[in-house]
Amino acid sequence: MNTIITIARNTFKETIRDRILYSVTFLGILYMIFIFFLSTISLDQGPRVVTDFGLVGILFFGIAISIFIGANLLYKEIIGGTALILFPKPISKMQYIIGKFFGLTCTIILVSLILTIIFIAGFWLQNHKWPQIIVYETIVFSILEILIIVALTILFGSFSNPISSSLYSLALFLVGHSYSLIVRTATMGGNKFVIGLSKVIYYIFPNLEKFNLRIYAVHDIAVSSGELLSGFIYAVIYITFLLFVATVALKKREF
Amino acid sequence: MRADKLLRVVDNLSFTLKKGEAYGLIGPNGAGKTTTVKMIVGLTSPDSGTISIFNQSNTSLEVRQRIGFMPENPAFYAYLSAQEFLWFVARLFHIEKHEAKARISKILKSVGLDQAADRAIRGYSKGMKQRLGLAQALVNQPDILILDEPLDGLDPLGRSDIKDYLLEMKKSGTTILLSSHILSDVEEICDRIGIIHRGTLIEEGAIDVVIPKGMNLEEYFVKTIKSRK
Repeated sequence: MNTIITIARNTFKETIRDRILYSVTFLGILYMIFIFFLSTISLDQGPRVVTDFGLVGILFFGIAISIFIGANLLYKEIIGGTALILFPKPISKMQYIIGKFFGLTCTIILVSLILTIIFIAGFWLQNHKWPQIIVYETIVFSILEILIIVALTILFGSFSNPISSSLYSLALFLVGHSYSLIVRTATMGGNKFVIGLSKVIYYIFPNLEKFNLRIYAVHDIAVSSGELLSGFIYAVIYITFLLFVATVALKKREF
Repeated sequence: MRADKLLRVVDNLSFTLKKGEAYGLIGPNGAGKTTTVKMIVGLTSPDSGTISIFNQSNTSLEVRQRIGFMPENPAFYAYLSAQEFLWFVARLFHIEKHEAKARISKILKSVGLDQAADRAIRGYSKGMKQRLGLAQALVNQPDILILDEPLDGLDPLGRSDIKDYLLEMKKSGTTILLSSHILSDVEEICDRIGIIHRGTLIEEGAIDVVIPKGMNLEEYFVKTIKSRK
């Protein structure tokens, strides 16, 4: 456990000083301020604009960080040569992968927190009240979704270069949000093979729509604790699975 | 033995390190020195054969706890300072805080990086990175120090400092495996040598026994390799 914390702390230190992070966070802050001004000229739709676009911003910039930094995380280590110093030390590949994941997770949470504070400030200025609990639940679920993407970029980073890794992760992000569309299209055709294939996609690829609570947040509708719990468990299981596969891929790699 | 589809990089290689000795692994470029060293520290695995250190598998975490390794052209986390990097290494070895503090400060001084300890590594010269590469290999006070081209890229003063330090380590009982193509340094530091050529160990023995009188290691090495061509 100490080794995982050490690697996580080091990853956090390294990623928090990355210039890409500063650029993306700065853009995120600008976006949040822009949303606030946009809401002031949106007639009576202001509160809705702040909630909807603000929550999308938290997700979008988190995904951007996970793809830009996550895709480089292992690649830099393996190709850059730090792996040659690290792996002869008394650490297992599993400790390394988990440590990297938690390190980047801390960075993502920190950036999401900064954007959330700006978002809540904008919300308060627009509505003169604090957001309902569903808004916070939506942010937590957005972070869970981002963490699935982080785990995906770590997995792809264990055997491919940053460009491929970013493209694969982005593709899975899009597929993960299109599952209902894929199933609807497959069912309409009536072809059993295509329907079967859509089911395979469901079980293999992440169903990221599970983490999209924005519609509830915008309309202020509560989500059952059962649904929240199942989403949380799904994320934990999926991330564990991805990190396990990443460990296996890394173990097979020669340096 | 390490083979791939096209070429056997290392073949039928066998040697033993004696406790407390300094062993020089030498050979021409592409002979298989770095591959051998990487196999020893578990970065790459042989297709057949075994590597044992302290009668245990070389990949066991216990063995790694007792090894110090410096790769060729060591790379570091660019945004960290040397001090931060060595603390990171100390934590990986679970070294107590006060002990780590004392060791890091001593090592930084020994390798001549104490003045630059708080600067980001991305601003370091190649020579400074070599020094840091050696420093990180010393944090756990290893029983075996495995060094791949540790003197490469150092200026004469740096080479002299590091050589003196390695001789001191040898005196204190640390076993050293030194892979290098700077033969004058190998001759100064090592007790025994092994010459690798095309992935095979072609010559091995104590320096003063193997090298004929009136010859230095470099002359003997050139003669040996040329005779095999």
